[in-house]
Amino acid sequence: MVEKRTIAFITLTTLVWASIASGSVAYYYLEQIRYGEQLSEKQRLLNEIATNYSVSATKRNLLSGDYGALLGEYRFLGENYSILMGKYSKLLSSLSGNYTSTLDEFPELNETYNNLSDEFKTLNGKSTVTKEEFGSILDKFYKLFTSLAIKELEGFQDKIGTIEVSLSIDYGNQTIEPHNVSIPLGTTLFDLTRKIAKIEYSYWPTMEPGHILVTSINNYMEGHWVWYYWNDVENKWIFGPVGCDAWVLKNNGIYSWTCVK
Amino acid sequence: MSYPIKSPFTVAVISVLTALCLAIQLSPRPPNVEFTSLFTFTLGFMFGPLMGILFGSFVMFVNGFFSPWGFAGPNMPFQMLGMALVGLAGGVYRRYSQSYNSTKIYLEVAVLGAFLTMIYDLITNFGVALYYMIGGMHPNLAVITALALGTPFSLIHVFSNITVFGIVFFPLIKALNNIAMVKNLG
Repeated sequence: MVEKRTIAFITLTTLVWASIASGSVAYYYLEQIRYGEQLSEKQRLLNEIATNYSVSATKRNLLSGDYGALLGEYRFLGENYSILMGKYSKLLSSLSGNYTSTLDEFPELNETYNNLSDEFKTLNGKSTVTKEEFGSILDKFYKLFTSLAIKELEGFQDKIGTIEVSLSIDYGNQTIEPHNVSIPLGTTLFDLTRKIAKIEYSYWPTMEPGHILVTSINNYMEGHWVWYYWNDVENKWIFGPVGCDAWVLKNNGIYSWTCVK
Repeated sequence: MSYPIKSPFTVAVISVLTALCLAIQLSPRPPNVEFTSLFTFTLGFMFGPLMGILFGSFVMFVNGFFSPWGFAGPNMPFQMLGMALVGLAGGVYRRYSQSYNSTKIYLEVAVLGAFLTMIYDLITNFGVALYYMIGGMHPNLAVITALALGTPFSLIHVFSNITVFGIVFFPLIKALNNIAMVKNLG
């Protein structure tokens, strides 16, 4: 005969087991729902990206076609290239119209566009445009067009995922500000620096790749601001080889801004 | 053996156990692995249900402010209530305990540890559900969600307390009784 005390403790054990089992089932069910919702959200994003990508590709192809036609005419034309200026003007306004939001979002590209527009206006005022002059603005147009198209495509990637990077700001006076941040894919060092600090910069049209030189970070300008990235293979800091606006950050990358006196 | 609450010995033992319990409770540790339930249950067992209730609620009150997992907030009353129940159960268990061989008491206390931990988690999860309700969730859904999401933590809590109660309770009681005997002889 089993005594009452034993039965009581067996009942308690059963209650504990039943409670944990029910809780586990409910937990599993809720997690399933959560994963389902996450999957639907990802699917919706993928569909949106596919649609945006199609629109972007169409736009890019049309502009490429126009550019190709103008390039063809440029190559087979004789002396005066001023007759092509009208077509170039259309191409430039078409570029601006198709990439308005990208130009608004990235000030360095907007600056490049404005410079190109100014250069075009100056040439347009002249009676004769030489092959070199027209070739130069055509070449600049293509670089800007490519940069804008890439930036737009990178913008679609933002929605897919983020990366983790570490950026420190060394003021050169023993003050170092570390920043560990999650950022969208395709972010440049310039984009990130603008995001985490108040910066001033100068634009250098002739410097390539990248046109930006940072002159002050958080109002500190007691020297020259240079940037470095950490090379995992060689285990050392490498001096930034391009303008910060042309350097796309990688996942788990380590970067540094240093003020050199 | 009974221990009068007002005796200096009792006050000294309770003070030492309170300090020890708070030191462990407020130290960095894995989530839901704790010794407070054991100490509370033991104090209830040794010094009566009232002392168990007071001890449990006091430790959880302090824990509510200084826990390594952060400020407990509105969940603190639920934690105090849950731990007070553990202390009460210690006292009640003493009344119904018989003379046992140690194997049986090990098993009984391990089962009680699991059951009381489950009750404690149910109460504190209800506190979490209140957060959800304040956030606008339907009360039934809030309770189910809080209980379900708390299950992984409850699992750790229950199994760690089965181990702690099962292994430590009996030797701890014996040690406390030995201290009392030494004091009486002295």
